[in-house]
Amino acid sequence: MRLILQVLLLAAVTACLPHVSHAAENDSQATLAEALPKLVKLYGAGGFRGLEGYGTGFLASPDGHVVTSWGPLLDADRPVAVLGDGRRVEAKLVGADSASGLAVLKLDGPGAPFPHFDLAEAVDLAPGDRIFALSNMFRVAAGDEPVSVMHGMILAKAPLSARRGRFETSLDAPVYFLDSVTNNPGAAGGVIISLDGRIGGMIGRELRGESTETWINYAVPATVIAERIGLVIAGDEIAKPNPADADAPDNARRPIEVGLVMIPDVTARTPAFVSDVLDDSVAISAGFKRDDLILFGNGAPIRSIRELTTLLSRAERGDEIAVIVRRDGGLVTLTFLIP
Amino acid sequence: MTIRIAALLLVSCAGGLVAAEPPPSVLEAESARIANVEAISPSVVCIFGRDGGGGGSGVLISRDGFALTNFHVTSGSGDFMKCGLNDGKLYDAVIVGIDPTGDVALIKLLGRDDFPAATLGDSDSLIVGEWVYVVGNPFLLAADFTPTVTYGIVSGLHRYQYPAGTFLEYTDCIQFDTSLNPGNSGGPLFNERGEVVGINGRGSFEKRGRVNVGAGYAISINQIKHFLDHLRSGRVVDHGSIGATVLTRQDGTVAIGSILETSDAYRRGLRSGDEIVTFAGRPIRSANQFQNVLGVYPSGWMLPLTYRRGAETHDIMVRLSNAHRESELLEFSKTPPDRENPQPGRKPESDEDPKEEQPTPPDEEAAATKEDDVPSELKQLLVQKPGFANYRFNEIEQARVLESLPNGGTLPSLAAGAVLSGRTEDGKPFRMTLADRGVGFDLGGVGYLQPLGPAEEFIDEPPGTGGLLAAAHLLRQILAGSRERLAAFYYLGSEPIDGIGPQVDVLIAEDQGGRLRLYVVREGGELLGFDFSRGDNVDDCRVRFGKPVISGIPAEWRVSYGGEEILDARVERIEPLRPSRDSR
Repeated sequence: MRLILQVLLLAAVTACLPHVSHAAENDSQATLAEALPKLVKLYGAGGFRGLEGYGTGFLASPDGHVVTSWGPLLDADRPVAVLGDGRRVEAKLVGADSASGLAVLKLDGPGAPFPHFDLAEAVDLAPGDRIFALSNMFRVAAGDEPVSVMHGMILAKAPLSARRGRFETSLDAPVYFLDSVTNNPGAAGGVIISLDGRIGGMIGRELRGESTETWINYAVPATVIAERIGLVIAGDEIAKPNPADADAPDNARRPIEVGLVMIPDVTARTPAFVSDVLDDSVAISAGFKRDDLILFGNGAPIRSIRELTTLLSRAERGDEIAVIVRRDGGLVTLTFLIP
Repeated sequence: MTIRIAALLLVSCAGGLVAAEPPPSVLEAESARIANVEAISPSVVCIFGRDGGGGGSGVLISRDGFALTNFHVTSGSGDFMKCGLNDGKLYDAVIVGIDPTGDVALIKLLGRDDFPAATLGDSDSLIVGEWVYVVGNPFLLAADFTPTVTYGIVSGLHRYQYPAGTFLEYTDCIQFDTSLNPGNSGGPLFNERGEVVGINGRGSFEKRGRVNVGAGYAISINQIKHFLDHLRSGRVVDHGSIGATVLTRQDGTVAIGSILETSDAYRRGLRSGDEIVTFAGRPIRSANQFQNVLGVYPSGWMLPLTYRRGAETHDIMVRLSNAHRESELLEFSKTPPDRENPQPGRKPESDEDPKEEQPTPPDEEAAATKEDDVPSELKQLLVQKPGFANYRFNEIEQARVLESLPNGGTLPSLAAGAVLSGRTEDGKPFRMTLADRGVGFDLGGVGYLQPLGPAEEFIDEPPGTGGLLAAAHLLRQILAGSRERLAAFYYLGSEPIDGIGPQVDVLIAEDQGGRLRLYVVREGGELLGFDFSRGDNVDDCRVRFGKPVISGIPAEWRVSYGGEEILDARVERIEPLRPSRDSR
């Protein structure tokens, strides 16, 4: 306990220091110029509401191994990586580590040796340490220019207890909490670095805090994931998380919960036909009728009951869901709020 | 967990109290920052609509009160606004010029000739990681007009932010992580030296409501510098197009997709499939980047373009055409209140994609100026005319340029017509007769005529010049002070002549479907030449003048058409026509 207090006190002193001097600023610009080419912009599957088809990755070996956050964009057969100099290269999934939520890709093309972060030199950060966060947030680096840079500070290193939609998430190691809005769309897989350019952590996917429901800004410590990345690159068997795990029945919000009784879900592509609507339900208030075929949900096509389940499960309580159904040869739009 | 963070925060503050003295370098940086904020704050403007609605931020850029802001701020505040400075005083201001595509507006504060103006910096010299200040009026907090200062770093450069339709397009813009909130719109982005490097206009606000998420965007000041004189003209200014689509090919090269045969680029030889190597002096590596480079230039400018076809590389100069149709821009210009469309400050179409928003306050809708409340001395400063945000400022700029011309733009030797005679470079004698009923030209015994009159069209006479005689007629109207006889005469703005020469003022004369662009040196009023076009789809008759001047008229005319030099004439005599011989 005394040790913790000492650390906290030290951190607080550092935290109250004003900005770094001009000389340090020039160093920072040099640091960033060296670090930015080690990031890649990733483009893959997705692109509809709530699921960005873009993300970030960082090079972790001279051979072109790219580490990123496990996410739906990797559902693409061949995600495309755009390097710091604007080159577009296809990437192949090497493996993944479900515990830390990371995936490793390998660039499929010439160019080695690639500029990369040396995970052996990963820095252990403490509250009060200043950092830069580098990521492809909002896909604003749309040309061949480097990704975005933000500045910030480590607020705390603590266990993560968060959720995405209805799905609880937990990592088994403490993560860094940050004081700037680093975890924007597309930022997952980006890095935080120390002012001298050493890798400190990987920005995680967007999550909300479990108790406050606010979006949290965090990074998984590089010292934690370094070993796992090494194992994946070495080809040691690490379970590849099934992206469908996130939508596993245990966590899912099923259509029945809003009062929709669907036809039996027998295949992965069972169309979202409503077989019945429960009395006194959200669905009946919204105007659903038996035999409606749900075609779109919040602007995205709903091709199966599973996609409907995914849509409902990703929504927050109170979110508005607008669906388009086919009824008697016409299209009808129905809206309801997630209870 | 919650408790631990609370404890940390408590300790943080207590820690600050017991901390040892920070290192001198840190204190110096802080002092420098404080001094910078003190230096830049007086130039920052809090903008409100006259009835208190709308609003945003701006920055003074001249001592006589010109200030920059966003178009989406002035479109909400109306043509007259109230502007607060950090001296606690409120000043009247009036709209000057607007750039709806680039989301920039120029306004003028009134009542002083010693406003504290900011210095404009060089946005191309910014470096990622450099500290920048956002100064303005977020949430309209500044009741005493003391601006709010936030501080962060440059996150990215040369960003492209998609337009809403074809307006409010942010090309080659600056991204920063400095806090940007509703009401910051139109305010300045300063560098550490206290220079304006951008005008803050939008941010990415996805998921977190309309508040800062650390991704703000500023229009680069270097782009705005290209447009500044255009904005001072009081016009609704337009961005440019090369009249071709540009695409990134599979192999990563950038090529022309389809190209309009009526475009200047086509006439210069550019064709579908040609690979673009450089544009405006910058290497082009993606179609997106081409759009980024194009977007920072006004319509009408000439830019160098290098393209490759097969093994050969070609360098051409391309004049940009308008990015918008005239009718699209007319929607933004002011029509007099008694006309059909009395909507001051029309709001642009809202962005379909809500994640990229302009950070204006939400009550912008209620901001339309009630023209009745405006005092008459203010009302005189607004002249509404189609194509202009405020024609009054065009009159001022016309007067400034004309004042610098020989005899203030009213040459008596040309008033009733004149005969210009001399020899071409190869020794042929010529006589050009400028009369009200026509322009005659005798070149080595061969005669040419451009008849003039309501039913006469401008023709290519002498053939192959692009209409030299018609051009000479329009030039005479400008220099003789007969500008009221033209269908249109106005100040356009400024541009580097021929794309590479010095920055010159441009006067426009239009008549009979023809258009003359006259280039005037900014100091001293020297005439450098003109480009004349008989219509949209033909090459210009290009005339460049030499230094010698006779009776206020340039004596050396080098005429070219379609890139070919066709005539080099030296005027030796100018004789006025006797009015009796050519009266109407």
